[in-house]
Parts: sequence; C-alpha cells; structure tokens
Amino acid sequence: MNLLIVSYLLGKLSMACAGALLVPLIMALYFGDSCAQAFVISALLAAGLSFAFHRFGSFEDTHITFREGVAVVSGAWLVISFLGAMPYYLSGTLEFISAVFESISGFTTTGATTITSIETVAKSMLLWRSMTHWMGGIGIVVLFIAFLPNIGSGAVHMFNAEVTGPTDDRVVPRIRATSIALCKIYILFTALEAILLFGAGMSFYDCVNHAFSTIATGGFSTYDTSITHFNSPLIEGIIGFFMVLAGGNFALYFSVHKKGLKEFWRDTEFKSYIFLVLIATLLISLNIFAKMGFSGKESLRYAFFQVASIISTTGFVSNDFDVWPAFSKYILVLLMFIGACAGSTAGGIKVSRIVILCKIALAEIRHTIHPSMVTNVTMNGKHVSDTVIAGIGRFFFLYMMLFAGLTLSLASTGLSVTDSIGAIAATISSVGPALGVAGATSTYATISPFGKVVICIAMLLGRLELFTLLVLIRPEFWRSTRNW
Amino acid sequence: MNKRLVMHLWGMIILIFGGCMVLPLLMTILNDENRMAEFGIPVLISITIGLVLTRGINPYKGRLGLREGMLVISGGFLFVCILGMLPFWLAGFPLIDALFESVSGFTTTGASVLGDLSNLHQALLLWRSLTQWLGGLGIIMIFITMVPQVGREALQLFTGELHGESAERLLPRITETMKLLVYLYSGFTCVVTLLFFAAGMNFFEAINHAMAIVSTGGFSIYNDGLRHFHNNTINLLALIFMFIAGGNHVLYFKSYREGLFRLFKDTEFRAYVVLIGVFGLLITIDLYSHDFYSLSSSIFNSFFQTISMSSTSGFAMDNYDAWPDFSKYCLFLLMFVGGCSGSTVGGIKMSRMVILLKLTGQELKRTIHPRMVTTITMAGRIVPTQLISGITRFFFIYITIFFFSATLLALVGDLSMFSAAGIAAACLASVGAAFETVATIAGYTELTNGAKIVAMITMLLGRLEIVTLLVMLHHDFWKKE
Repeated sequence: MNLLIVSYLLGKLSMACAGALLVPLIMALYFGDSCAQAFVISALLAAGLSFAFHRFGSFEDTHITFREGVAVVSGAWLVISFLGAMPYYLSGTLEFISAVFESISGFTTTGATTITSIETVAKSMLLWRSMTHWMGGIGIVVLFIAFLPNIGSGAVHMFNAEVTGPTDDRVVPRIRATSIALCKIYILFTALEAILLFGAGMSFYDCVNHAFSTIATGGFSTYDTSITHFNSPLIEGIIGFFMVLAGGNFALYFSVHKKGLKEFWRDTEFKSYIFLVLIATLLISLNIFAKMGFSGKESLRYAFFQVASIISTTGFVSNDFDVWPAFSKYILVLLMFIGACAGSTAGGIKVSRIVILCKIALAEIRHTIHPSMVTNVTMNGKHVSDTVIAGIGRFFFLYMMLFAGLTLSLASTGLSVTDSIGAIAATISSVGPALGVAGATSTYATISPFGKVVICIAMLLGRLELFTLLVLIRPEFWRSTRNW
Repeated sequence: MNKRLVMHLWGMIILIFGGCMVLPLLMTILNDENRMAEFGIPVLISITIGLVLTRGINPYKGRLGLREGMLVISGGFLFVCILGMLPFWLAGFPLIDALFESVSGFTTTGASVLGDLSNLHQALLLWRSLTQWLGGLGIIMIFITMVPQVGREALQLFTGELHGESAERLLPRITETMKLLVYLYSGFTCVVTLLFFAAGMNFFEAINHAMAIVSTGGFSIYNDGLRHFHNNTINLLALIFMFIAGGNHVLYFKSYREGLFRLFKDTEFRAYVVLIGVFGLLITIDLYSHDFYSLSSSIFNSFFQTISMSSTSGFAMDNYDAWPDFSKYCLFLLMFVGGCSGSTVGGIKMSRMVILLKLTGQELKRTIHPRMVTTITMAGRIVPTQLISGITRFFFIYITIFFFSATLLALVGDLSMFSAAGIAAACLASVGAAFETVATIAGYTELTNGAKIVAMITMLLGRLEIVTLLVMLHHDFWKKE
C-alpha cells in the first residue's frame, strides 16, 4: 500500500478541518463566548496533525488504487471524528466518549445527540455542530462519487454511467468535474433553504443552522425540541420539502439541470422514492388521525414532516412520534431501513437497492413458475447486471446481520429490546432520533459508554456502506502483496 | 394445468387425513359417547370428499408438473387445515379460533387460542397433538409413500415441501426415501413416547408430548406445558429430543448407514451445534450475571430455551419473558435462523444462513480483489450460483414478509412493537411462543380476530417456504401454456 499518498491526503484533510474550525472561532470571538479557547486549541491540534501527516506523506507517487482509496476514506473518518470532537471536549460541554459520539453523529449526518440541554450550549458550539453535518454531507457526496464505484457494490455504478464509469486515472478529471458540480448544487440548495427559512420568520442564526442540517440530512437543531420549537406549518413545510429534496440523487438533479425536468420521471428510483413518501404519509396520517385525535390537517402535516424527516434520514421532529401508535412507528422504522436515494447524503439501504431487490423477488416467483425462463431486471430501462444484483443481495444480508449483531451488543448494556432495535436502526441509517430511551424527545446521553461506542460503529458502518470499513478487518487488506 | 390429476391427489390427501381422524373418533367412542359427533361428522365429510375426488376422477392422464405439484401442496395444506378445524368448531369454539388452532397445528407452530386446556376432553387434545404430528411429517410425504405410481415427478413435491437446500435424494427412488423418512419419523416418535413413559408420564401424556416434540410443534395437553411434571428427567429428555428433531432427518439416515462421524462432517449440522452452543452460553452468562438462577439452572434454562427456539418448538421451562433483554433478544434472533433443512423446523434454516455468511466473507474478499473468481462449498461440494441467488432472494422475501406481518399485526391487533415483531417472527418460523402478550403459547387467546387472521396467514407462508404460496398470486401461474 502506498502509505505516503494516504498520509498526504489525510494531512490535507486535517488542514481543511483546521480551516473549518476558524469559522466558529471567529463567531465565538465576536460574541465573546467562553468557547473561543477550545476552538483555538482544536484548530492548533488539527494544524499540528496536518503538519505531521505532511512531513510523513508525499505526493510524488499519485497512483491511488482501491486499497489507498479505502485507507483514505477510513482514515479520514477516524481523523475527522477525533478532531471534530475536540471542541466539545475541550470546552467541557461533553465528556470524551460523548464528544466523539457527537462528532461522529455530526459528520455521518446522523443527528443523534448526547447534549441534554441544547439551549444552554454556546452558539458557536452549535454552529460547529451544524457545520460538521454540512461538511460530512458534502464530503460524503464527493467521496461517494469518487471512491464508491471502485467497490463494486456501489449504487452509483448502476444508475449513472455518465457520472461514474471505471476508475482508471483517465476519468479522474471527469469525476472531479462532477464532484464540483454536485457541490454547487449542494451549496445552492443550502442557500435557497436558508433564504426561505429566513423569509418564514426564523432568525439568521437559526436558519443557517437548520439549512446546514437539512441539506446534509443531518438533524441537529439549535433547540431541544427540534422543529416543534417553531410550531409553524410554513417552516415545517419548507424544511419538509428540502428534506425530501436532499434525499434525492444529486447526480439526477445535475442531469435534470442539463436535460430538463422530464429526467425526474425517467428515473425509477426517484419515482419510487416519491411514491414511498406519499404512501407512507397517507398511511401514517390515517393512523394518527384515527388514534391520536389530531384534526385532518394536523395529521397530514405531522405525518408528512415525519415521513420526510425519516426517509431522508434527517431526523428532525415536529411531533413526538414515540407516542404514536405502533403501526405508524413500524412504518417509520421501515422507512429508516429503506432510506432515500443513492447518490444523496442520506443513509439506509437506499431506495434503488430496495427496488432492485423487489424486482428480483418478483423474478424469483416467475422463475419458480417457469424454471427455464431467463429473467431480466431493468432499472431506468437499462439491464442490471448479475454482478450488481448479487452484490445487492449480499449487501442486504450483511446489513441485516450487522444490524442484528450491533443490536445484540447494545442490548447487552441492559437496554430494552425495542430501545436497542430503535437506536441501531436509527443510527445505522443515520436518522438520529429513535424510539424509547433515545426517542423523539430524549437523547442518547443516558446510554452507557460501551453502548455509545457500539452506536458510533453503527453510524460509521452505515455511512460508509459497510464494505469500506469491513474490508479493513480482513487480513488480505493489510498484506503487502500487490493488487490482483 | 392438469386439473384432474391435482384434484385426484387432493382427494388422496383428504382421504388419508380422514383416516387419521378415526383415531380420536375411536377415543370418543371409548371415553364419552356424547362427543362422537365432533369427530364423526368431520370423518364422514373428509372420507366422502376424498372418495368423490379419487374415485370420480381418472388420475392417469398426463404428468405431474411443477405447477401441479405446488397446487397440490398448497391446496392440500389449506383443505387439511379447514377440515382439521371442524372438531374444534363442533366442540363449540368460534370459527376463527378453530381455524387458527388447526392452522397452528398443521404448520407445527404451536400457538394456541383455546384458552384453558383443562376444559378440553382427551380426544380433542389428542387431535391437537396429532395435527402437529401430521403437519410435521408433511401430509404430502405420507401421501407419496402410499401412491408409488406418481414416481419421479414426486421429487418436485419433495422439493416444494421440504424446501431446504439439501433436499438430495438418498436412494435412487424418491418414494423409497419418503418411506424411510416416514419410518424414521414414526420410530423416533415411538422412542420418545416410550422414554417419556419410562420417565413417569402416563401413556396419554407421553404420546401427546412425543408428537409435539418430534414435529417441533409445541402443543402440550397442560396449561403449564412441560412444567406440569416437575420432573428433571422429562425436561432433559425433551431438551435432547427437541435438539434431535431440529437436525436434518436425511442426515440421520445417512449416519445410520455410514457411521456417526458422518454427522459431524456435515457443515449444516456443525453450524447448528455451534449456534446453539454459542447462544446457549451467551444466555447462560447473561442469566447468571443477573442472578436469575443458580449456575446449573442457568445453564439448563438457557440451553432448553435456546434449543426450543432454534428447533422452532416453542416449549418453555420458565417465564423467559422476565429474563434480561439481552437474553430475550438472543431468543428473538434464534427464531429467524431456525434449525436444519430436511427437518420439520421453520425459519430461514441453518444451511441458508451458512451459505449467506460464506457469501459475505467472499464478498469482502472480492472487494479487495475485484477480479477474483470464488466459489462457495457446502460439505465439500460447490454450491451452484443459481441456488445462491435463490437464497439471497429468499432472505429478502423472508425479511420483507416479516416486516409486513409485524406492521399489520401492530395495526389490527393494537399490539406494542415488540409483541408484534415477536408474533410475526414466531409465526413465520413456526415457533409459536414469542414475547410480552404471547410469552406463553396460550397468549394468542388475547389477540383480536384481525390479528389472528394475519398470524394464520403468516404461519402458512412460513410453513410453505413463502414462495410456494406466493406463486399462486402471480397471474402466470394460472395461465394456460
């Protein structure tokens, strides 16, 4: 493995992190927060680390194979989780494990929090919190496009031949160009949402934070009660719309921008995604209308917001869904597993995979009736190769196994079964608020340190789509033999 | 579609089934003449229908294709469940309860809605156990041994009924295999009965519990199940035979011929032993560290429950619903896995899980070496790709059905999330006992009628390995070729 280039890239990343820390630092200095010191030390630490990485690394041999890609991605997440935790820890806001938890939750755009009283935390710290979401989100989009196609089980590979293609050196400029275009869309959406929220009556500070949080499908809010705090249908509508938008495939938006709106309706995944949002909203609103005593309008409003929030794996809360009937909660848990579209900042199994799985399940039934039939699965009118199908089947199995294993580990800390299932389902798919102890109105603060570590692993695994992190535990990965 | 043949075969099934019902009928004649009608009428009905279908339709036209096979299995199963419900219905239980009990019996689930069992007369209790035993054996298997002329095509029935992936033929002729399996199963039941009898049960108790254990069902004739006896020998026997019943019966036959070492050469059986060992140990540690029991009874309770869930029997030694959540969650996961293929257990089955796990390891390897060609072996033989993709699909379908069932149960049954998940998992894997509301198999009494219907459909789907039943919903199935 070419450790030099890995180290070099990690150095770049630490430097970027140090730069990012300056933003909340300036704000802390401007407002005279007590946190300024913590930001200064954190930034210095990041700069120091960056210097060390640069000393060791070099940029002479720029050949990045699959292994380096995985090493950079995994290393980047470790470094950034650690550096991002520093401000929380140094300012005394959180103890060490909780600080790392908060940082990973931020960068993975999960939005699970261990801060029990958000309003008492300094504003600069909350800005940093939202910024971790935003950077994590944009980083993921870029990493997703740049590295995941390598991995074979990458969803992008299947759906956007234009964006991805094989990962030889010659396509690097194109990937970079695409990544830049995606970043532009990302920034545009954020700005648009911030302006709309400002127009709807939020303060400037709140609207920036919530826009960061929404577009990254994160879920950190600046209030304990999340979106319930505003109690405004208009704000819920705007945020709901942007959550659905953020859950869509960014590459699709790019091609819509280029080729026109009809691209939306050509995309099987996007159609299925919108269909899921609508049907889930309908079912839940009927259920809570019947059981919770809301008016028709309220039911629709709460149901839509919550469905948008969960399927896009954001995790904002506009009504305490933990007290909703079990049927509604089941649908929400189902949506947590499904997640939103490939190529977005959302987590979960992804709609495209679910669509393909459903199609092959149907093909299996037809195959049983006609044993010698050759079945063909298509997506957007294109044939999906057997390798991709097999990869998706394995991904689904692995997802479920890891889910079961992590839940078991969490249950060993004494958490109830429902709480463990809810917490892991919500964090492996980067939603955030779960059911029960870590539910809509409570936080992850009460979970034991071991439980927090388990959840951190769940968040990272979910965000990096399992395989990137799991190959690290295989001995072959570390063997110095050359790549086949 | 060869309708005549299908109907003829249905007739055979119903006829055999009616014959089996004579047993409790005799018992009512001996015990309580007033109750004769409860079994007399169903026997008359099934024998009439059976005779009409078998005598009235000429069976020798055409061959038994795959679609016919599936229709025979699914339709036969449904008819038997409906006819099996009659004694309960005539005894005064509501229609849905009667059907539920019958479906639960024939699918070897063992969920019960009859409430207090001490009110039931012996013939009805015997019928209850008998439904499990018959279901476990697979009415189809009995039927095949009796109808040798069906011959080669019966293989499809066999793969449909015992869908586990190691449905390989022991002997050149499938009917021979079937006969052997029936003898093995019956002999096994006799041994368990005798041992129970020797351990202190009376004959009636022994035969009922033996049938429930060998078929991995879970019905008992007492409200408190095996706890009724307060007898450690019985408990230990139950534990051992549940474990054996969860293993591959074809494999037992092979080891009988080739020596005991054959048992441990089998990947699936080893995985089954390891799974039970690991989960038993985990639960033991959890129970002991929470001061639930003394060390020895922690070990016993934990292994008893592990084996009960893994073999999808559903017997309980103690109220495990009060155990720590970690243990409960372990039991919950075990329900999904189930025992070995080629047995009467439900669930995803060990062989599939082993293949899926191997597949995951392979995927990680291939992530590092993208162009590597890899194969998966079971017991030294390469598993064909076709089968592998079938298994991953099965896994997805299984989990999806579980989710749908749990969601529907939560809606129509007004249940908590964990209760609903427990019932869905327990019914799909034919375990029966789950958690919270249904921590004992009798807890199903408290469900709403809607929930009972959903649970019944789940049981049928699980028992017929989902796809066998789902294909009927596809319009291609009914199309003429």
